[in-house]
Amino acid sequence: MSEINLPQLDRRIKWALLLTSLATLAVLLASALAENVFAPWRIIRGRYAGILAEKAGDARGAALARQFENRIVQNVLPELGTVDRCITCHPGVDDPRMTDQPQPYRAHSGDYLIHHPPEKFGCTVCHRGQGRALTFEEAKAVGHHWDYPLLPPEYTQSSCGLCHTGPEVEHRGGEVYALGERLFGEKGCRACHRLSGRGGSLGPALDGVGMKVRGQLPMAGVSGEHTLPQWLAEHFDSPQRVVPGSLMKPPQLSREENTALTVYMLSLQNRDLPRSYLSPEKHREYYLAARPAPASGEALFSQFCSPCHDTGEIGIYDKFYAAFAPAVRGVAFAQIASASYVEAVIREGRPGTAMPAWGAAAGGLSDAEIAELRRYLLATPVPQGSRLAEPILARAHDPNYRSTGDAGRGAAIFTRHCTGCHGPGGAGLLAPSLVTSTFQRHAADGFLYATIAEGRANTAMPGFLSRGGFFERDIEDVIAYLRKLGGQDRAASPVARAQGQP
Amino acid sequence: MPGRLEPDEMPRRDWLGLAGLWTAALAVGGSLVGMARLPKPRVSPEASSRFRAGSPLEYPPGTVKVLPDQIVRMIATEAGVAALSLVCTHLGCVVGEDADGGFLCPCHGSRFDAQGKVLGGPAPRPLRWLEVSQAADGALVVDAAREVPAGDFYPPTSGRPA
Ligand code: FES
Repeated sequence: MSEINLPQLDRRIKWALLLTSLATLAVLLASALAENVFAPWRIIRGRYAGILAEKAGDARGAALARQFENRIVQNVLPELGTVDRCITCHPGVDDPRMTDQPQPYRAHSGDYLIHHPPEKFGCTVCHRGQGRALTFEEAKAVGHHWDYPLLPPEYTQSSCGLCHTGPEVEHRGGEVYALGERLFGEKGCRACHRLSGRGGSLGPALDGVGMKVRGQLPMAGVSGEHTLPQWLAEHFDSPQRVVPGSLMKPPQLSREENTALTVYMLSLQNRDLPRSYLSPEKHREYYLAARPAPASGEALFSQFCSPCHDTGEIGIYDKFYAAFAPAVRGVAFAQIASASYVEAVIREGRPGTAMPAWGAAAGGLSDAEIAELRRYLLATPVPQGSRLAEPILARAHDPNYRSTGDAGRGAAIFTRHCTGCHGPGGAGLLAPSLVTSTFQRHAADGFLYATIAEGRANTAMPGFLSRGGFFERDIEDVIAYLRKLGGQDRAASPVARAQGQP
Repeated sequence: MPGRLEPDEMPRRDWLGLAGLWTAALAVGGSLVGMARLPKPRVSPEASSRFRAGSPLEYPPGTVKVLPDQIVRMIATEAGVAALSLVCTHLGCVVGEDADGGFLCPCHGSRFDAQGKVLGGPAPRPLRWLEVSQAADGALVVDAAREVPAGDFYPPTSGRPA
């Protein structure tokens, strides 16, 4: 090693100092410019100032142009928990002169802002997205780290439902939301989905579904953007593609209906908005949801029952569910079923089958509504030719009638004649199960007798007494066997047998 | 090897050294200025002091209306519209309306006349008159952070600006 060349080292250090300092200065200058001169919002507001000056035709226009400042403006709404700076780059949203301007300067569409001044509502409560952002890209809040990205415009009406009801906004700028809300009732979604404590249990409850974030949803089957609205829309098109193994029947929606129902789903947010924001109609809706006004049996049926039972007039074997939906408004059923039986089945459902319990604790129907529904089912008109014979009807409604048959013989008959449809052991196959606890507890012997003897018109169940070659005793034996299946061994009780002798 | 015999070299090296030192000082200074700005954000999430008081059509001359949420009394005369703050200038209680059109503070008994002038009590200043202006859609806008001289009425223009 030679001795150190001091002057050369000295020069090198000085050069290094000069160059690094220059680089630092350049970075400082660049960031100062980016922050103070070339920030996107500054440029946008600078241009808007020009537009304002151009449009300043009268004293007030001039005053507006004069008062305009190139700074960040925002709506801070502690009640809603939002800080929305969108108006920094959309300064013309509330200026009716700006309808002819391109975005981001254009006035807000419709008369939404007249009823929802931005100072009180902000922007993100309806549009979602990131209110604090100062660039459009960031405001969209797309990606892994954001829960509630900017709503695509076609879904913005979902936010109407936070404070309004469908009928209220139908002709006032909320037509898509109103359609969605109506479809939800018409399509009978509540037959499987619970909402606000009312509805079936085959599908998941829908409270708060509009607040789901992408991490909560299976996105593998979604071909579009991985967002909640897209998930919902594609799911309505094909539930099984988006959720493999889903039990949901494709709801067969037009494009327009799909959007409307997606909008309605997005509106189910369970958010704790300040009461003062809700319209009186929405308050009423909440009030009524807690204390449902008595609906007609027909309306209840179409909302809660028809997706499976259809009109209820004929028995349906549903290929999609591979299950049987009985003719609950069948002419025979209406004649022989007792009020208490029908109400009990509605209230308790049929455990182990697709029929859920609808009582207040489960499906959310009050006793009064169940009674209303029962009246509707049993009020099915019976044409002359289908009227059952008087003795059969009398037995069907005789609370004291008890079968005194022989369960052993009944088992043999059942195996030969009944297992084809009702399955081995009556567990249900093409026809309903006969061993569910509800059925066993609430179906009276007389009801069973009349059913076996006369069958059920408009279903696959034939009458066995007249045409099927059964004798009365065969029927009684079958009933005894059914009771044994349900855990009651009548044969062990000679007293009952003696009492029951005709 | 450069040395005392070649005096040219010294100024050149000096120039380099001085330039390096000065730019370094500038860079450090600029960074300090930038850092000094950090604690003061350009905008902080505070509720705005401006609020809408509704359309001028709601204020025909002669109207006197209290906006309880914003704690102002809107006064409309032939001369225009004004906003009188109802926050007591003593310790900030909300003054109540007196029988004679004036105000009475419930906390320490300051009394003001209808124009906000102090009639008695500990209040050091008259009630504040707030700046009224008009938004682009014609609505009246009150800025609670800006005061105007007492008796200053804003004459609203109707309709949309041309
Ligand atoms: S605060 Fe009003 S008199 Fe003291």
